[in-house]
Amino acid sequence: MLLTRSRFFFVLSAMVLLVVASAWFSLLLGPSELSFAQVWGAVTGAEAAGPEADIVLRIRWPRTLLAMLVGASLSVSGVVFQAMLRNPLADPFVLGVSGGAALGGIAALSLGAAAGFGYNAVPPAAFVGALVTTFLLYVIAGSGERVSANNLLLTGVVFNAFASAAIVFLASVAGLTEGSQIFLWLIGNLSAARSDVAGWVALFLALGLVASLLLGRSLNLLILGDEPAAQLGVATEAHKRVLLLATSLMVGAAVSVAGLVGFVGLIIPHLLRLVLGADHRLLVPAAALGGGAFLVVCDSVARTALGGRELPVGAITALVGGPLFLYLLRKHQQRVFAP
Amino acid sequence: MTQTRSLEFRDVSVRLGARSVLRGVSFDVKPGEIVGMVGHNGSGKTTLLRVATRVLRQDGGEVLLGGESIAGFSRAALARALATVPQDTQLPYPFTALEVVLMGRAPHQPLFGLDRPEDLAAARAAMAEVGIEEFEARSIQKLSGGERQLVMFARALAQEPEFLLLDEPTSFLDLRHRIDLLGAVRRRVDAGAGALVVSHDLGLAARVCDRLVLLSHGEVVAVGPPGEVLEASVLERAFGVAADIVTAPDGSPLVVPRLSS
Repeated sequence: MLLTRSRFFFVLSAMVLLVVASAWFSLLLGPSELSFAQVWGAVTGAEAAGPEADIVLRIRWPRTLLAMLVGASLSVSGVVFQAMLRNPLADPFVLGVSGGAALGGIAALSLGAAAGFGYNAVPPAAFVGALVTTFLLYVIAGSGERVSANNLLLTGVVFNAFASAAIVFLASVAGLTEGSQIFLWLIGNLSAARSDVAGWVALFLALGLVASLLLGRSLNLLILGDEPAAQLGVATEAHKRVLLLATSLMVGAAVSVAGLVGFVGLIIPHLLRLVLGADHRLLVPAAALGGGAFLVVCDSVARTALGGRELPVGAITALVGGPLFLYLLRKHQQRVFAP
Repeated sequence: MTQTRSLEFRDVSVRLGARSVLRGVSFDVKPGEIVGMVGHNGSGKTTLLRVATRVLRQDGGEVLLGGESIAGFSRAALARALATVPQDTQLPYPFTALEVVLMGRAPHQPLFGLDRPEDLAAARAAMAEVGIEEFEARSIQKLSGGERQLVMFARALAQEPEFLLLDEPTSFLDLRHRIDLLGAVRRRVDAGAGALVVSHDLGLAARVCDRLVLLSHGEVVAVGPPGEVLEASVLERAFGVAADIVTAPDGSPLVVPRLSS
């Protein structure tokens, strides 16, 4: 499908409507039943005072916004990984990059508790964790001539296992195991999300998103392989370094507030590619909006499906993403993409 | 297109690990000519194309474009001058044929933005020139090897380079499409471009190319008009195969290998 200006704006406008609809859904849902009019009043400022407005603006809205940011970060990271590694199964969670970010975050929490610099160190540490893991992934699984899907996925599995073990170890040593805090990091959830680091998250997402948007055409060309992309004028090494930083920022941001929410980067890019085609100049912004809307809906379900008790949102995304991953794995089995 | 720059390989040597792949390769391609590069498997033909596009760094010698070393060119400037068609390309995502051809416009475009009308015009003209307009909206993943090769060739034409570097451009093509593709190369060359074509088909190379470069074990064994390069004694040295050279009705040499030596 040819990417014309009108198609570009039509698709993104539709996606923005989807985000608005998901946010509305999320603001309406919760233990206290609010009417359409009450939510409308709170959002528009007509009823800015009162308990209803407080629920909408102070409880549900921050969480909805956070879900949006986390979903967008994970979804765009998935798109970028899938292009750079030329593999539709690449996803920050599956590859172990989220695990690396979580390890970084927990390390900062454990050491930070002793050093006294608090939660603000977690997002930068998660970024470093993601960066180191991505770098190791490139070194170990390779990225140049021939990357087999199996090689990449096996490396991811081992990274994840190692990160989980190291997280539990660190947390035990530092005494962070009380109150199932670690469990929530490992399964991924937004119920304990710290809105004091929302600024970090927004900054990291903004930087990562802008870089991915600017390099949309390069992402298209990198799918041909590194050498063909270079032969078409792409400064491949420089662009890949920027994209590596971008994904690490986005994954670091997402993990530092939500823990290990899996498969968002797999589900949304796959669905969007089916509908919109493969052009990354459209796919990247659409994935940001689609990922945001998707995680807002998943989190609304997680908050309300069991009545008073909350499910971790990572459980919802994994229930959707796990089967999709297996389907994609079967579809692409034994397939090695040579340049 | 009119141009005056020529592409020159000067004493190019490449080692891959302990193996010496190219040794002291020197020849040039001028605008307005098609140079064929022939030689046995592993003789270094593809390696030389990689050196020319600077995706592989040579260990000795240099590649010059209009007398200037390509080491000083930006990636985009080099891509505006040289277009390659790889042996085969498979894509993991469903780009349409037109989207793939439009990728050839990348070196002419700013980093960010949608395709401009002139890019679309160049891409569609290239597809028409190769006769694949009807592939426009088809997914590259659903095309056959030969059809993909035509798309990749159209991409190189859309790049509007000074030199076309083609690596076995006709390996998956039937006779009709071979002739069409080589006809398109000839038209570009007549319009002022130059072409360097790797081929295993000595007969076709002899007919289409103005000059041939024969490589053997990384060294240039012979350079010159096809009639001079395709000599029985030269071929026996380069390929280790005895062959008879007969003359086709149009005067071009035909190589007929002897099956037992």
